Amino acid sequence: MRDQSTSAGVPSRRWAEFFVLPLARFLAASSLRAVLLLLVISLIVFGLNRLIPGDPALDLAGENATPEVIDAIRRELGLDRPWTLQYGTWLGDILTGDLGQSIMYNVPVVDLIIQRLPPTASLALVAILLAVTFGLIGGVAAAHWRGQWPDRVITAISTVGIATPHFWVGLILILTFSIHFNLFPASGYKPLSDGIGPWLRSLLLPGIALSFALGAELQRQTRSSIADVLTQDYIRTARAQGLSRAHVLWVRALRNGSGPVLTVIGFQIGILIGGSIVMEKVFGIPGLGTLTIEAVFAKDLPVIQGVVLVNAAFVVVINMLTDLSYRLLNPKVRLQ
Amino acid sequence: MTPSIPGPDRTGAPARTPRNRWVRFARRLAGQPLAVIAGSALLVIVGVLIAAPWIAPYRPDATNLMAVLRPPGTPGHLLGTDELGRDILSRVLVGGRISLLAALQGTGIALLIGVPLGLVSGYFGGWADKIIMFFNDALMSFPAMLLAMAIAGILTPNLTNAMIAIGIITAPRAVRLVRASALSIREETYIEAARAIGASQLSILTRHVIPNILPPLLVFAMILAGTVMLMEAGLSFLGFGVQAPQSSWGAMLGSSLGYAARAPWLATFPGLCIALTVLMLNLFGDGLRDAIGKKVRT
Repeated sequence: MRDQSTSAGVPSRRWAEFFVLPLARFLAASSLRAVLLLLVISLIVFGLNRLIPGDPALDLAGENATPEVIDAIRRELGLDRPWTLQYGTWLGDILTGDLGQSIMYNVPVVDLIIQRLPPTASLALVAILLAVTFGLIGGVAAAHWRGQWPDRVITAISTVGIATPHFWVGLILILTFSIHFNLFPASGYKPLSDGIGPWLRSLLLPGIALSFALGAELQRQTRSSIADVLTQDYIRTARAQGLSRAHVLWVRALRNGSGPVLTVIGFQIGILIGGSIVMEKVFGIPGLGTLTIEAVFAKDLPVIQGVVLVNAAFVVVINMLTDLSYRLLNPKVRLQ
Repeated sequence: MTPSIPGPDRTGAPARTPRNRWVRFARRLAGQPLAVIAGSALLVIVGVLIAAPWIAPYRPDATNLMAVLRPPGTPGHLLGTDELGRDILSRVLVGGRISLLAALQGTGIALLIGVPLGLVSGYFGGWADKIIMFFNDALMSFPAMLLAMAIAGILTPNLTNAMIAIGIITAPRAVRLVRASALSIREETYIEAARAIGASQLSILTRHVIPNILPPLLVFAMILAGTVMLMEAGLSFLGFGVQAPQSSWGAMLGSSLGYAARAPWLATFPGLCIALTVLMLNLFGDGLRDAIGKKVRT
């Protein structure tokens, strides 16, 4: 009995020592780091206030306002207080979920962001799925036929994909598939509630255009990673065991060589968000990108600050999750 | 069986490796056909764009309402005309000059900010390193295009402000690269030797660290110039960069949006020019990286 309890106890103690404790330490450290990063990010976003040329109170009061009126507006906006106090109040509001009131729409910024989020999230999702499909298939195929013509063709497509402005690709897709062949709508967004078909049809062209750069980067990373895996002994052993070439390539090699995929998506998410802004303009999608363009033209600072802050916070969280997943999936890093 | 003798020398003497590292570098670069083609193409592109005001057949803002939206191949208008009858070829040439200048401006600002901060961070380390890298990571968390648009838009939208915004947003990448290079160089034996003979920090930085950072920085600058060109095109496309009557390739794409169905050539040529230039910058950058040698490459 004693032996049994000992043998049962050792693995669980090891599990705690080698997995749970390091993971808890990592989570605590990365959470603290994320909070500090978010503080610095909030400081930079707050600093956007200071970039506005001139005096906001003067702009709001109009040309013929008396100094008393201007002073009153300045007091009302809190502009007469030191910037540290202004920042403290602004940060306090944000922590309670209040991102301020939009000047152009006169509604809370949070409501606007929630309302415009679904088209942007849908576009990003479609783009990521397309990029992962091309990246994995292209990467594995290029690694398998390394140095031969399929590798050269796929690598050339990726090299061109990275250099091509995605909004131009979007325009070319509209010209070809919407105007010439009349297969897809040239602009607009259909919500998922209208059915998955119309939703996907409205997002396929912008999704393809947006997935270009991410797909190309994923393909490059996957190619390099799979090419490395294919030289390993366990792949040779798998082949020697009589497993089919397709099984070795698409199951064994891909499972071990797809590590960079999550990391690349994590680190490219900021680029994808930036890209979706321009893509929404090309395809007339009423998402966060369109909202930001409208807000910047109208100098609607609360909306600009809200959108920038929410996106940066999202990138921080995604990067943290990427680090965490990399740690969980990779035993070497996990045990460090 | 005699061992094979490297090099083209048939007299039996081993081929000599040139002492000058720039000659070695040039030879390695010349051994890469793709990089040579890309470098030559870049030279041609830059030469044509510099000469644009003299070789453009028309003034880029000269309108002709009798010849609007003419297709490519129209006599006198090789690439056609736009909605105001302006010659597309002239606008592509002169607009490309602005795109190129913008890429240089944005890359220059990023390097001006990033190189000193990266040097301080990597070479001196300590608290300065921690603080700089923390702010750097914070800045890198922003979606670059979004923050550039916010900065350029809140300031008055024009090309200079757009390039300042892009320079600030891309500077963290330069900080990272220079820091990593400085970190590895400061551990080298010749730096220790320089310290041992009493060389000042400034002298070590200017005579040893900076010259050794230059090769990877050159590669980085090439690839960054391509990224900056794409970002400028995006900002100008949205209306936050170049303002009329000036035009860049991105701005030309932006103004083509309303005429996509009637005049597809308005979008085709500026887009092709951006893609081709960025592709050449990337290919030449890749070639430079390979020619610099294994040590820097890794």
